Amino acid sequence: MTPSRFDISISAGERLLVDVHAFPIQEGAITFLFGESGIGKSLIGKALFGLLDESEFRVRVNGMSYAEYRESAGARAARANGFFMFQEPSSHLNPLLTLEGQMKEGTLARAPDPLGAARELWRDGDRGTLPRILPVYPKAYRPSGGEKQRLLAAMAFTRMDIAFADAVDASGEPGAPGLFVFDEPTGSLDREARDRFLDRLFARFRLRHETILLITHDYGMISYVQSRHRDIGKDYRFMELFVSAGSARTREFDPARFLTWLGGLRAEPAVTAKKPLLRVEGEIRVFGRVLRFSQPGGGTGRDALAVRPGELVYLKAGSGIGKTTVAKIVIGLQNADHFRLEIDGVRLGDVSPRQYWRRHLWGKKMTMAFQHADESLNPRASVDDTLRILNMKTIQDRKGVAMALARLFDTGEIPGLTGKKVWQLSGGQKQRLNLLRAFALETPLIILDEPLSALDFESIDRVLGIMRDARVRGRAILLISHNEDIFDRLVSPESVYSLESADPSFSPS
Amino acid sequence: MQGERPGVRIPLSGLLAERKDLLWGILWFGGLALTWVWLDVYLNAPARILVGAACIHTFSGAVAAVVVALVIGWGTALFLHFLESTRRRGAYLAVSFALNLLRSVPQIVGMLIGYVIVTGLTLNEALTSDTSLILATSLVTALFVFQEVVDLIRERIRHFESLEFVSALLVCGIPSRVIINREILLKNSMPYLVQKSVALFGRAIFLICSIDFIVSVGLSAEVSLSNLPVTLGSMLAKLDSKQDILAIGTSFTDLRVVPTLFVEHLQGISVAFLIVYTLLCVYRIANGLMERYRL
Amino acid sequence: MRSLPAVVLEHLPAVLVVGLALVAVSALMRRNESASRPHADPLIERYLAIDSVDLANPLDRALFRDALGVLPPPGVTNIDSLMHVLEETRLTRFTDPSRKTGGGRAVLTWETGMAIVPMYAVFLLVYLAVMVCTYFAARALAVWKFIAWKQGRASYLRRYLASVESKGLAGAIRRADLLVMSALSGIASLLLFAPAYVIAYSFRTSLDTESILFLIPLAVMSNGILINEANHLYTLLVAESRKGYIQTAIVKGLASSYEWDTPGGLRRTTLLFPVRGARGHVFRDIYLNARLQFIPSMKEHAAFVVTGIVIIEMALNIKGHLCYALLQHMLFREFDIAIAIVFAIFLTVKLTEACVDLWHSLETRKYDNAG
Repeated sequence: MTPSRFDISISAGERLLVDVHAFPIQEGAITFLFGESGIGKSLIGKALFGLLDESEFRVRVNGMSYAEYRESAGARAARANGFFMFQEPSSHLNPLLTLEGQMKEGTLARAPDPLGAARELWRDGDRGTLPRILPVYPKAYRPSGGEKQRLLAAMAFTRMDIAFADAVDASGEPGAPGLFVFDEPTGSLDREARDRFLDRLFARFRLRHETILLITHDYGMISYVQSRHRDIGKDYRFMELFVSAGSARTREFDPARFLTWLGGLRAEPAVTAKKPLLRVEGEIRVFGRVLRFSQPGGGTGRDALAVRPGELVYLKAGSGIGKTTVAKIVIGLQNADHFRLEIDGVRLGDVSPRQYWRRHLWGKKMTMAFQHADESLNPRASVDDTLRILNMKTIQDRKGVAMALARLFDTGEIPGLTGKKVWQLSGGQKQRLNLLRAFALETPLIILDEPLSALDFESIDRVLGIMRDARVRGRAILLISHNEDIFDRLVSPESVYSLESADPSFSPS
Repeated sequence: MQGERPGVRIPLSGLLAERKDLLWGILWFGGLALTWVWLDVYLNAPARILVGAACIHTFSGAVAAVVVALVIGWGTALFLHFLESTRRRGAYLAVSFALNLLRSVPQIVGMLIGYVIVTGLTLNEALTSDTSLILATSLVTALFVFQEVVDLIRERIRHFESLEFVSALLVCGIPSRVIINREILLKNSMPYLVQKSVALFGRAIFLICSIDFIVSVGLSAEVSLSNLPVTLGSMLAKLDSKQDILAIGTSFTDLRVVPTLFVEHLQGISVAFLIVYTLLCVYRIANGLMERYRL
Repeated sequence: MRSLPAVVLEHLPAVLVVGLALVAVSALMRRNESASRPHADPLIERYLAIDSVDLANPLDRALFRDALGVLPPPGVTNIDSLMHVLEETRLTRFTDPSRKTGGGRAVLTWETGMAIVPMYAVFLLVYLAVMVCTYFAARALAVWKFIAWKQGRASYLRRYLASVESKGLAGAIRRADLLVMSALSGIASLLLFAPAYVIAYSFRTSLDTESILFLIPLAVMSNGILINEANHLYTLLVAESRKGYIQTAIVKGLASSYEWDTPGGLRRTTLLFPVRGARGHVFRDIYLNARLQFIPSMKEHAAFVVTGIVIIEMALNIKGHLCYALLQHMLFREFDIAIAIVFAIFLTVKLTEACVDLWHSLETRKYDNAG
């Protein structure tokens, strides 16, 4: 880890996955690495930490074979004294070991209080949930993604505390520095939980300047870090990974660029005159919980969620409350014990036949763009097929496809894009294609679940543009997102709804 | 970033080391060809023709069994999915129950019962030609292996249903049949189906040879059940082939027998080799496909 | 989660349905059989049963005809016609293949049923021994293969090819060693894939292939049973080793080297005791997760093991064994006895399935959060 700049190439079989030159990691500083998903940020982090499997990847670091790099003194110390917090919380916890057992496993057992860091990441009022989930074996839906993510972050913090204790105890030489990699550490957290995570991270960093690489596409972090931790501004830096001429490169990302853009966002006026296209009554009973809507931004006090033609409605809630569940109930993919809604004048509820959605609504009156573009698109289909399967009159041929793509892609990249298979696209390209497919259907109502995830800064701007165009053409949009930094500014307070769980035993992140 | 440029240019030897399915496919065909050349030189013509016919009948029977298993398996899996998704619980449970019953019958016992039925049909002259007999026995074989195809297809559908893939296409107005047949099975499950077909091909060869061997050995007692087309299994059960195999045992104690195995005892040895070598290669090909596609 | 009795009892309907179906088939066959067989005249039967008269002998036949002429049976006027029927019935019995084994087809009675019981007991014994041996052997083989893969060890053949250029005596010894190991590993591969009858006939001149002590290892090793079971567990181990929680365990500092008997590595006892041998090593987590998924597949393996034993007993014509008896009863069209044997085999598989479900259920409950 000693060199501060790394040349890294990673290939799998005949495919070159990453080829980055002079990737900067400053020792004793925090490097925030932004950029759209799927261009190699995680692979770079894993390669530096020495985690890649040589039976799967061919890796070279600074001209060394991967085995040589892994055995170098710097890399060994980085691993031995550091930690890697992985991106997918669900798959990174052992299903056959209780969460408490996992918090005390391996080197973490050396900490005097292995659960202390976890307690820091729960709100004071919610500490009761932590003892309840610790004896649990992790399952797909329990604990929630946000809770799992905080536990993984807590493990990293515990490892930092141990490194700090080791350094303090050492009488002479300080211990060799470790590397702490946080890969999308806040992807499942709401803004409040994310900010708490950042505060705890910076608090530890102020005690001992560890080398930290924080990989994210949440540009909203910039405004929080700049407002709260500017006093140590020289100890952190914002970098952006981007693809140019088929190769990944890094550049400094100027925080002022984002902050200026954010400051320029203006809320669109709310639509109140028209009859709602969608109206969801304010009590949904699902999974033994009661979900209700409220309007924290000074709305009309109505207890039903209403979306009118030409309106952008923002539904927000803490992690794991059930925003996506509500969206799936509205679009008819999931039933509930009780719900009532009205779509274009037709009343539907938990006893309505599922076939109604299939025959009369899907693709005709409403559609939805899901959160994970990776899962939503067919990886073996071409970009062309992905749009032409919709059977839209405007997208019957290559020209139509190119015109549709031009709404979210650079004109220059389109010719090479149409024939490509989805699996060959970067995460950001997939997300743009995922959104384009939803908008291309021209349905009166579009539900968007985390539309800005996986995108880089330029793409975020484009996606907001296409949403604006859709609204101008009278489309109604129901939006679900953690990205409160952006959407709280963009959506009028009358159109912002908060989803709350009436189950007293359940608490948000 | 998934670049188009090749990372490393892989030579042929490296390619074969990475694509073990291809390597073992070549080794299998090469082995069969070499065996045939050897037989051409050292085995008398009538026996050689018989070995050739046995090979063709066995392999074509196994291929037919795989095709039939794929067709029945695909149809059954879709039928079950239809019953499940339209919430016809009673019918779904009944079909699942019947499939589970079939699964609990050891394949060889089931095939033996099937062969009794085929024999009955032959004695009644409902089945007369070699082709019809091979197809009938393939159907019997397929009946006891097709559930692997059902399991695979249902697992693939469930996998994609657990992702947002199916939901995302449904809310775009794409019909379920298009999503399942085209988007999931044809576009995303071909390596799985190919690998399964190869594994079933090996299983079918094993079962066909075993059942033919058993029936032929049993029949050598008193009664003739039927005249099924010669396969590698029934060929091995012939008295002269068994004598050839017994010679292997003799060679352990008398090394002078070893050279004669490849010349004098060629019929039995070559048939046994063809069975074992084919089973080994087919297993390796299936495994290679599994490794290559990370199935 | 279903209760434990429910896990076991859910197999009962299948047993009942199959049992009833087989009884129905058996009854149907008996009826067809008796309908198709001509009813013998009791008088003819009585005459044919006289031990002191051999109607095949012309002298006995002539004496018998004379005796009938002196004392004609009541209601019989034409003695020649009676003699003709007697001769025809006698000849039919002589040529009927079903009567060749001693006069008439055997049917399922208390006696024939009880004759199956000891054979079934031997079958169960062999089956249990093969299941247990296969499980432990496959587990050791899978763990060995997985660790060899993690160690990056190439096959003997590949190592031999790589060592071709090594010089000197040490090089020559090394090459010879690798060549012998390559040949042995090739023969082992062929053995593992060979159908049992090929192996058994190869050894028939030098071993007692009908002994149970030969039968059990043969059933474990042959027919691809061991290699397929081992490969299934190996595939699960590889899949688990690539999962995220293993990476988390590695960054938490759990031992992750796969070298034998080194600090941070694995003890060789792991091959036989994967849980105890790998304490503090990520392999323990990998194995426990893989094993939980492997347990249900024991149901399929049970059916394969039965298939293997059936093949061996039938192909080697091992008299006095259940499956040989099954084949014989089928060939002589004694279907109701054959059906009884098939039902016994079906019960064995169902019982195994119930046990495996119970085992899996007990294992899953440990991680259920229900408490």
